[in-house]
Amino acid sequence: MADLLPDRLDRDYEQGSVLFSGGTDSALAAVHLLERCRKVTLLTFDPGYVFFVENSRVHADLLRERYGADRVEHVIRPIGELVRKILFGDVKRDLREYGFDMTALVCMGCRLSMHTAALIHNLEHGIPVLADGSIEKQDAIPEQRRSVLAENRALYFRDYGVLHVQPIYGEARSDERLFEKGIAPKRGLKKQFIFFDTQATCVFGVPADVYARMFYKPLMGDFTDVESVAYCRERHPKMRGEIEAYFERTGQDLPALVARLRAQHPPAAGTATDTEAGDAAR
Amino acid sequence: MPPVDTRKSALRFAARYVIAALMIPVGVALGVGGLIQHALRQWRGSRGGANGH
Repeated sequence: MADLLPDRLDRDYEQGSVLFSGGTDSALAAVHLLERCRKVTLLTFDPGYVFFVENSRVHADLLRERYGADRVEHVIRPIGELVRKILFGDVKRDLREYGFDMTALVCMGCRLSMHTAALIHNLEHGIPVLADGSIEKQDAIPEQRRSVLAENRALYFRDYGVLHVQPIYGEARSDERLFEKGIAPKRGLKKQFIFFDTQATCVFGVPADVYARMFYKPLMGDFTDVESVAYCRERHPKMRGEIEAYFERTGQDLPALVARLRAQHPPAAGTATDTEAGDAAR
Repeated sequence: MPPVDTRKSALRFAARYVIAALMIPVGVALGVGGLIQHALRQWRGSRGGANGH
């Protein structure tokens, strides 16, 4: 059973991090996190096949201007090696198992590679919270489905002491909210496609989006949960292996780092159980 | 606000639609493949497969 963990912060923390593409969803997620955390690290990862990663600096700089450079840190980090192992580790087998659905699942493999890098960063820097800008409106995309989020949230909290939250999951117009708050440089940023003003362009993005919205979710319905969670579970041991190898290589005591994060959460967090969508997919 | 480079904007506008014109059909073609795959799974499932997968 998945642990009963909040999908948004209900208490204050000293530090948090956000998976930060630079788009309006992740920027608004950062704003929410800044309401609860004294310092927030914006984590932008470059898997090697996206263009214009530097665009992420637009909203990052505006957030630093608004909240102060001492409260907002922006890190751009290449993760090609992790992607090679986690997403592209066994392409032939993936194609045999998932076939055409890999068109949509490729984004989840990429996201899990980013999670691996983020977990390493959080453990290394004592950051107990990891947010992202997932939204329900985009739940045709596997990595933004409730079942997948609940599955990963339970694992990251249990194994690493990292609380993974989606503070704007119900928000459909993050561009408007961000503009109203005086952070987005112009209105209607969500209407942009392919070449964005504030985020990278991914070569897999358009076919993955078309496949997920027009075929995957309408056609497969609830089976997308089963398949997406299964794909995640296959990747989790690889992610764990990469995390353990990193800390072994750098001579850091992983259990001690996990304990440091766990100590920052309230004692009762994650002890109750429920039947979240993640369970339904099992 | 910095001045807008109209030539760059026009190029970006054109590139956006050229890429969309190329990549959307790729997504649709893969989707048709997925459709056939899904139908095959259903058919195999109806013939006694574990769960059609």
